[in-house]
Amino acid sequence: MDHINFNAIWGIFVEILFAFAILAFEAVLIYIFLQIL
Amino acid sequence: MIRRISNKDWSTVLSLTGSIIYYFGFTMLIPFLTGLILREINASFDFLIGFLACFLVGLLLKNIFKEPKEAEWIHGMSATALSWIIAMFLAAIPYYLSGYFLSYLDACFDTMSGFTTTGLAIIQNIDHIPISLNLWRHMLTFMGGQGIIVIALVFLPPSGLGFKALVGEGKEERLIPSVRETGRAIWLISLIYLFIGAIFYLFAGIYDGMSPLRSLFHGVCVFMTSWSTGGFAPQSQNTIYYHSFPIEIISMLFMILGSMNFGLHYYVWFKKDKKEVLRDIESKTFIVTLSLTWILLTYGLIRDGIYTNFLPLIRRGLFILVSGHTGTGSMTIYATQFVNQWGDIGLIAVMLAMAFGGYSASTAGGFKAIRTGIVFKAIIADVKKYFLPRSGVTVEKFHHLQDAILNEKIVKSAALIILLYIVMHTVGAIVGVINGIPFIQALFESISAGANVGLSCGVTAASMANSLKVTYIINMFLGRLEFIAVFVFILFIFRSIFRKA
Repeated sequence: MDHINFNAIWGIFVEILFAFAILAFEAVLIYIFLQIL
Repeated sequence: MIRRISNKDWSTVLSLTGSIIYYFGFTMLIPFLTGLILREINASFDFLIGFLACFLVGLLLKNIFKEPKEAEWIHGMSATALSWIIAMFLAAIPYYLSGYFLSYLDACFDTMSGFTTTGLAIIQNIDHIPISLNLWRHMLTFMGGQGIIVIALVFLPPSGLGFKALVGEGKEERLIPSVRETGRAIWLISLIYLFIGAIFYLFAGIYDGMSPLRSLFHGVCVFMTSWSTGGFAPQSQNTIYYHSFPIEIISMLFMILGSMNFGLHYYVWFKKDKKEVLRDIESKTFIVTLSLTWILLTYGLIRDGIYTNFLPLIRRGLFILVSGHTGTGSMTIYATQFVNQWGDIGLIAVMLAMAFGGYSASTAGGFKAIRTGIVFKAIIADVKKYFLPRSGVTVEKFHHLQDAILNEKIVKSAALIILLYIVMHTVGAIVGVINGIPFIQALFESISAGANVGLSCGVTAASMANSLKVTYIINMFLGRLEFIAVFVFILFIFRSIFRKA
């Protein structure tokens, strides 16, 4: 198992999570906005 | 004193250019073989001719001029600018021969659009072009994208803060090994994501009822376009074609990932500290500019009653905004809807997002988050000065892969590039207005070309004036290479003509 870089796999996961979090954040933003208007 | 340009310098530049063209030519063998397998004989012969042209030009340049042992910044930058131009003319050959372009200029326009990951297209009848030609369009975007990241990480300012600082290679003589090393890392990252992305799209396509093979082809194409923030699509309707929420979400995800700094990808993958993603000045700036433009866009869309529900706002509004902000240009609405439906607030919000652009050292275009962030910090720091005691001094810092001090030099170079972008967008808009296009649409299309986005409000078409096509080609080129490399090359030519000056 030495040749598998788990650190990199964890990194990919973190990045995808980050991109998803941005989208979720913007979605929440719009939800709040819809409630106000 | 300004450096003199000798024949040896030209020899180095032309030799580097030759190597780039030579190796680039081999990539045409992929659509050539695809065409042969799919029995698209005419199309595959176009690629064979294109390959031979690249092979010949590359081989001639490579062998006539000696391979340099050492290369300096000016050589790298000049070779980049020159090879970009020559590659455009050569890669346009299979395009033109295919018969789907009305003129060679049109073919050059689409090639430059692909290379610079812009995504404006004036190809005719996309829905019926050979599969190999369709694959080539997306490959152009993918390769242009990878190429620009190598260049951005190694050559372009603020390169001192980029990959070089990470790998620890700053010496000029080591430029070539450094390019090689960087290139390898970038291909590794991209290919792993290509694999992950293809699987995501494959399942999304099958879920939406496509056959597995077709889903795979579309998946690979759409991945390449999203990841390289390109904006081409395998069919004329772009992303509207799929009518698929999963595909739209996945595309948004990969657009954001593709617009992230490759130095950051490298850092997050291979260093222990994962919180770097959030700490970086670029991430913060990106989230802030995206949110601000998003608020403006939603306000406009809701006020005018265009989309009043949550889902259409996400699927049309947010998708277009993310697509514009990351410099992709994939569309979930028709080009004419921008003008006829969205109205001025919508256009302005998307224009702002396009102008801001994604991270530096990525395939995204525009000002880049790091420059916006730096200039914003500099303004705050300037205001703060007035609140200090007379003898007080503050040191402003920012975090981009490592802590750095915000000095005048960095602020100046960031502000200058932003200024150049604004001038370029304005010039493009003026040329549009001269050709009889309303100002706001001319500006929209100009920003879209100059910031390498590819969203279109209907101006870009085969029928537009040649002067506009040429202007957009130049804007795409300048915006992609972030001016400096092109200016270096122009000065390089100028200095070699007027040697005694």
